[in-house]
Amino acid sequence: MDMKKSALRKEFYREIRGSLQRFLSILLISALGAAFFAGLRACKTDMLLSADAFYDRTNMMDLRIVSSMGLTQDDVRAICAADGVRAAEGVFVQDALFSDGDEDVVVRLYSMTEQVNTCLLTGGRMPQGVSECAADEFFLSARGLKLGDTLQLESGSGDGLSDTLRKTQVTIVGSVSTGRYLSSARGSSTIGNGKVAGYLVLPAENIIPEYYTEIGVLFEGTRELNSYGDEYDAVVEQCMEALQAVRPERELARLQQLQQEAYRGLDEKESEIALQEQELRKAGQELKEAQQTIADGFSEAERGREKLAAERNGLPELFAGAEAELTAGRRALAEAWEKYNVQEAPVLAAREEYDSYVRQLSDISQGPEDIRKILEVLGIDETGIIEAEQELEAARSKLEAQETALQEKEKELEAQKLQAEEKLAAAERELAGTEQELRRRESELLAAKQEYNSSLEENQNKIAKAYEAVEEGRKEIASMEAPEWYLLDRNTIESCVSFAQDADRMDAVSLVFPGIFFLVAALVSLTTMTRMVDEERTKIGTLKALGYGTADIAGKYIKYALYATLTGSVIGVLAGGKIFPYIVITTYKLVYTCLPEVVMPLHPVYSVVAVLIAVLCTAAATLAACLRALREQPAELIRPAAPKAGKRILLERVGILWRHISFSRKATLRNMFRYKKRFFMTVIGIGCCMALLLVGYGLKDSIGVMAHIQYGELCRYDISVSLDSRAPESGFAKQFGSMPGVSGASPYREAAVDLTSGATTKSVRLIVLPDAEAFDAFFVFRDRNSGEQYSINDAGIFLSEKAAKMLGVRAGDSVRLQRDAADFREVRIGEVTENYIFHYAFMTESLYRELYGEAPVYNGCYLRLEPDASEEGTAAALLRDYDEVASVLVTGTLQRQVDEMLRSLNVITWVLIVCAGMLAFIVLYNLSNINITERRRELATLKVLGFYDSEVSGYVYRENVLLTFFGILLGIALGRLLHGFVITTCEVDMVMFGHIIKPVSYLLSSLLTILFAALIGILMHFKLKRIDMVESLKSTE
Amino acid sequence: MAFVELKEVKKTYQMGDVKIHASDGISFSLEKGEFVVIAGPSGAGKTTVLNILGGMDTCDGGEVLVDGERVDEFQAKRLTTYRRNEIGFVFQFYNLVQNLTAKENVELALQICREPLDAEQVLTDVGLAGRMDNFPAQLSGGEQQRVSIARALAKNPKLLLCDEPTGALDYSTGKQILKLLQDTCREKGMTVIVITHNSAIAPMADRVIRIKNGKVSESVKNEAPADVMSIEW
Repeated sequence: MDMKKSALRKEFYREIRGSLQRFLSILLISALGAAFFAGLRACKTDMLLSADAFYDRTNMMDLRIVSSMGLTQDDVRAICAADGVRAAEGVFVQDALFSDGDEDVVVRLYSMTEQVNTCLLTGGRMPQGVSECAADEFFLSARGLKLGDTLQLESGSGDGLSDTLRKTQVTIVGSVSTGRYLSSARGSSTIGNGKVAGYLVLPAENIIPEYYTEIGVLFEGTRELNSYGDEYDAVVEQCMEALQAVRPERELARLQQLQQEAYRGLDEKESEIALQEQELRKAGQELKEAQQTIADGFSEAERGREKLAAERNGLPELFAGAEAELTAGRRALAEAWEKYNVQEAPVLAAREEYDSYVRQLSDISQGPEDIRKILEVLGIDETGIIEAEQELEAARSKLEAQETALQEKEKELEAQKLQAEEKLAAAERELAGTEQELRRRESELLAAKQEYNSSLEENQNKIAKAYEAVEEGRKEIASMEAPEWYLLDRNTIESCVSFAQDADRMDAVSLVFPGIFFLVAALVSLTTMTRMVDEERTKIGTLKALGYGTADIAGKYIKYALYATLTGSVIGVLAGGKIFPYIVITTYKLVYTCLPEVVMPLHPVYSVVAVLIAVLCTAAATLAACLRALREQPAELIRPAAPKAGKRILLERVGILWRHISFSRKATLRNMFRYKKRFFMTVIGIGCCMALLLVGYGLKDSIGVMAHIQYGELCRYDISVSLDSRAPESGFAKQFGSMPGVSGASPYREAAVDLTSGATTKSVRLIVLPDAEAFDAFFVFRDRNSGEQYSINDAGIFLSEKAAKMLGVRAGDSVRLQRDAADFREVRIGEVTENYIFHYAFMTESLYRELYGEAPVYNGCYLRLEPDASEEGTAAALLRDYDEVASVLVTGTLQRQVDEMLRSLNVITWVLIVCAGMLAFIVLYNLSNINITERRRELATLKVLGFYDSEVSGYVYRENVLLTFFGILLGIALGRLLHGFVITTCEVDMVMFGHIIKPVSYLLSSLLTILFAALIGILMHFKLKRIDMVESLKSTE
Repeated sequence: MAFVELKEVKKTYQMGDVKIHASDGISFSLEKGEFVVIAGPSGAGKTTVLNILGGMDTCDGGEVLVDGERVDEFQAKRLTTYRRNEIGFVFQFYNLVQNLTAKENVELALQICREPLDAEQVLTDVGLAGRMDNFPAQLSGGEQQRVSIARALAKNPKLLLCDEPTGALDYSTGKQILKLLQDTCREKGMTVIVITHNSAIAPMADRVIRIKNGKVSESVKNEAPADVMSIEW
């Protein structure tokens, strides 16, 4: 017994050595199946683990708290004290601009943190000085910036950055990455072009505000958990509850603090206003005083003038006495002169007489003495005359002295008069000057007064208003509502979620494709082992004839397959478990550029399952192959198997057709159907290859079409403006509509409502437009399958397709529409329309009125632009020029965002193309090999008959071409099925993927499949060339 | 000038460490229209001669002349053309394509040659007028060999090479096949070479070439070939 077994064992090992190619082919397909299973299954886990490792390394917050009114250090302290919180740290976030050439680039500024959301330094050093910063690594490379560059930051919103930053000129000293941003998307902003290009991390010293924009929180025990796992979610949820408990108190505290601050501010403002008021009053007072002074001046001048006049009047009186005296003097003098004259006359006469005597005497020439003596003698005495004359002379000089004195007096008086006159004139002049000055001041004052008066009212109003504002401010503060905290976990971080979604998509793919590979592995094993058993039927017969049991004989083949499979699948698991996640993650890193790590642990469960499945597949196939042979009698087995008889195929019964088929085609067709197992295997193999490719391309189509159809065809608006409650009730649509570049506008009301049908409730967005025309202008309603377009009417709502599907309703059904907890309305569904993103219910205004008895409050506006108008420009203008515009969505931007996401799907497509290629290769290589081996004699005969190598290959290829064709047909069917499955698995609640595969994808997939088949064909050609014609001379054995 | 002439043809196979001189300087010649039997025991080198003559193998030395052409100098492609246009081959195990009917097997050969004969006529000639649409599996061994001969003849070759055409057939069927070959030679002037280990059929040939140990031991022209039906073995 032992002897026998050892002989068998020896034979077994020789068998493996002798048929290494066969052994390897089973080993390889098992390896591939196991590698695909273990590798692809591990992809999702490894992707998520890699992301988680990065999150842990950068201490990414488990939760961030954002408040509507900012957060404080006290909040941080309170959060730290809450149960389950490991660390909490506040961070200040603000968007700023810097100009890069002509372009304003938006950057998000983060204050530097030490415990939570720390950055991973990838180059340079962390910032230390107040004017240093670390920058987003991706942003640096995307913008072509380098360490050492300096950015001049500006605020994009009008008020400068001076309230925020001490230094607005910052130098980049380090490059960093953070778990918050895995992909290249950096979010949107309200400033600049609205697109954040990257982030900067600034040291806290550079940041002025003392409050925080958000607080990052790390919980106890989350670090050890995978952040995409359920356990993690449970811990976070639990800790969140603890924070919810802290929250009301802190919200209130913040309110009070803000109120106090605000009150203080108002108080200050009020005293400022009071000061202003006082000043205003003082200015009035001063004006009045100045006026008085001027008036006083005038009256004084008047008085002066009066006095002067009086003085002038008093002047004659003043000199009257002196004049009278003078007049009297003159009169007396005149009288004295008269008297004198009277006295003088006799003297003169006497003199005359005397002198005449003298003269007469002198003629007698007597001397004077003689004369006199004569005269004396005569009785004429001169002495009397002389005396009289002397007396007169004395009187005369007295009078003349008196005359002179009088004249002097007169002169004096005259001078006095003149002096007085002059004095008066001077005083008058002075007075006139004063008066002029006064008049000037008066006119000045008048102007000042006018000005004062004219602005008085305004100023008073202003002050009154300011007071009012303060009062109102007080009221407002008093009525201020407590800020609301938002506790946002990692599920609100975009890249965190999109990465998980990508991982999920990968997972959906990994569910399907390893299955295909195992199926193919089983098929390959089946054909290979069948062939092996067929080849060894004589040996089996001999062993059976010698008395070996079925178990021993079958055992050999099973063991053979098992060895190959086990070795293969273990190799596959080890290699695939590492290679596939590595390739997938590395490829995804093209999209998630900021993810530094790749974590790929070995997953025991996947590995064991993979090996088990592989072993089961091949073992079952082998058993099936050899049991058939073992059932035969040894005598039959020893004889060579009769060659498979030729048979007419079904097609030949259609004589007309058959006759028109060329001879070589006939042979090909017969050959194809002659080896049915091979036929099916090839068709299945190629079909799977085609299906994989189709799914790969189809996935892109389905998700891509979503954005293109949704934003390119169904939504006909270019911009959707949403307005806050300040918006005027109506007319804004007209206003927006008249903006340059806008060709159409319609107001809309958007509100979240619940639709209920039976037990299912779905939240949808209710869109109300004024009328059907507006709907026609901004939406396309159509049936996805038939393409039939609908026009909305007042009879019912239009419901988006997926919502209808989830609610299980159709056109004509009724649903319950619920605005809030207590407001139910039954409404009929007019049509179900094609829609991919979000759920919508569309309704006309009149239907709304009919349902609710009131007009809808429009809270937004759809705009359509001229073809050449800039969407971004219009959006920016809307935000800038209208305060009531709350947000602006540009359809083109949304479409681009989705397109961006599609790039990550290329990874899956590539993985699938590679898989498909390998699959096609293995299957076709194996089958062609078997085909050639089995038909060696036939092919050798053809060669002897004089077929050229190309003709021999062609003889075989024609079959392969047809098989490939059938395979592609099968692949299309299979691919569509798989595609549907994958799409449904990937699809999230809020979107509906397009269930379409574009014709070009069919074409590409077919071409690739044909390419793979052609490659195998080339390989086979060389194999065919090597077939020896001498084979044809041998007998069948 | 001889229609076929072999001069000192040598062929050596390397089997592991051992060199086998399958053909150790074979020389013979034959005339057009002759019915030639090449006889010899197993392993003597008959098949090697056949392979070389049929263009299925090349020789290491010597000359092979067929209808004035140096077949030994042909390249692979020319050899194939030679096979398809000038050689008809009849195999011991018929080597029919199982998946094709008798007629189709003939047509398979006709597809590729220059001046083919009509397949149905040839099959009628070999006595298979009624079995044209049967698959090989539905035919007896003798009938299959007739199809094989028809396939070879339909190509209208210069040389019909038959490798043990009766080896897998019973006595009387074998005789009928040989008769068919002989008749073909006589009626169509076809040069027929039959390779056999059975020396008993030698008398029916125009020329008998005996091969032993890779050499021609005897090449005899038979002036009065016997009718195959009269031969017993």
